[in-house]
Amino acid sequence: MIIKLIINNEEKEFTIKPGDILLDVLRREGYKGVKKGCGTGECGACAVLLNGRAVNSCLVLAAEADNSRIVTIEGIGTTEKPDPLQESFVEAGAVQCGYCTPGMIISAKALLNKKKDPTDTEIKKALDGNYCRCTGYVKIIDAVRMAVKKMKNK
Amino acid sequence: MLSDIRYYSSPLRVSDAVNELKKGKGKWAVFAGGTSAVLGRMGNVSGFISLKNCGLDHITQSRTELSIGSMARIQDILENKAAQKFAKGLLYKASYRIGSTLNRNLITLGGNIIQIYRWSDLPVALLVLDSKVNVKGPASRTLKFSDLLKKHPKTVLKYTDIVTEVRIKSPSGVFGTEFITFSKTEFDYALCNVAVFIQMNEKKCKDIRIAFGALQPLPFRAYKLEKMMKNKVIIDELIREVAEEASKSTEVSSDFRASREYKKHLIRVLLERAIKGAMKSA
Repeated sequence: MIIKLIINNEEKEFTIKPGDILLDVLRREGYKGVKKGCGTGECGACAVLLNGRAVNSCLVLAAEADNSRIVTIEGIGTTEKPDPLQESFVEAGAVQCGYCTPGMIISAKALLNKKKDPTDTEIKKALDGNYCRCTGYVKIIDAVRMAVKKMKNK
Repeated sequence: MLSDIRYYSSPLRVSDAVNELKKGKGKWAVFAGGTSAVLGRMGNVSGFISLKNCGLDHITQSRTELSIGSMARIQDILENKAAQKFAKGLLYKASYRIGSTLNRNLITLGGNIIQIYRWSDLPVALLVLDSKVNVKGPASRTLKFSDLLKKHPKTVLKYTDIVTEVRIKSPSGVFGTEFITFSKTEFDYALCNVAVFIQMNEKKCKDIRIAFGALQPLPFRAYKLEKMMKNKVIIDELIREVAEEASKSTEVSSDFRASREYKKHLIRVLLERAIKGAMKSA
């Protein structure tokens, strides 16, 4: 079957099987920033924005995403023009091994799209499905707070 | 990839979805949020009929009831103003600890009550709110949620049945609610969860509904305990007595997560707290 998607503002068309998982399709099509972690919806490494909501792409049937709008980490910013969240993750030292970072940024992005000035509790709740096995959570929360400030000052 | 899945469709109407399920002869399953389906927990199925285009994701409140479409996401319940405040926040409390934000954006109300897990929080709250469930199929009907849980919902429903909506009557009079879920860590599955709905007439308990979850394969109403409290003046001694009885009479077994004795202790402590919490909110 064929599905049509808008990924990072580009129209795409993929041939898939009915049982294909969105995470596998995205990686197969070159979106390698979407990481495969647990594959069971526990770790958040594969998070993408699906119609504006942050979801684990390992738990989404690719067929179910037909006609959806998807944003992966590749669509958040570029090396030349990074998103304030990406800048803050670098500046706050919130990246250790880096495997969880795309998922963390996607979850934080979903939050900041909805709330311009989230509380610490709201930040922690928004990131509650993203595991950092280097356990660098303090710096990650700091980075989101820093991004909030950056966005306010823009 | 789910290699067994060879068919997928997403009809625009519930009636078309029912017809598709008929064609599948029990081998095709309803696809709601899909978090269990994608993990291969749907049993022996070879196709999915998705409800995503059937317009079942509403949350609406009328003067008399709250209706939640079966495709409403758990995160929608948390963010919807009417659902947040309904029954003094009972649905909000019971939805708050389900999965993570990333999964609450996928899990649907319908999926949560049909693909029910032992530790599920929300069904316990729905039980004490006397919820009703609309089912569309060859014989459309409205079921009491408690009747849907007499056996596993998948056994009660036929393979051609689709849950379209959960309806909850707005509580009236002086009432209070409480929901408590207990797990070893914030993210762990519940070892015991309890919901209480209480209606007061001055100091007397006019009506009370108590439900437990995570203790047996399905959540259940504690009718015997409710009877002990109805039409009685609520004093601490009575609450203690009811909590003791709950601990004594509820059948639980030891497993790798907790002993039978520990679970019985939890039942007593959590029920006492839940009744007091419900009374405080009344």
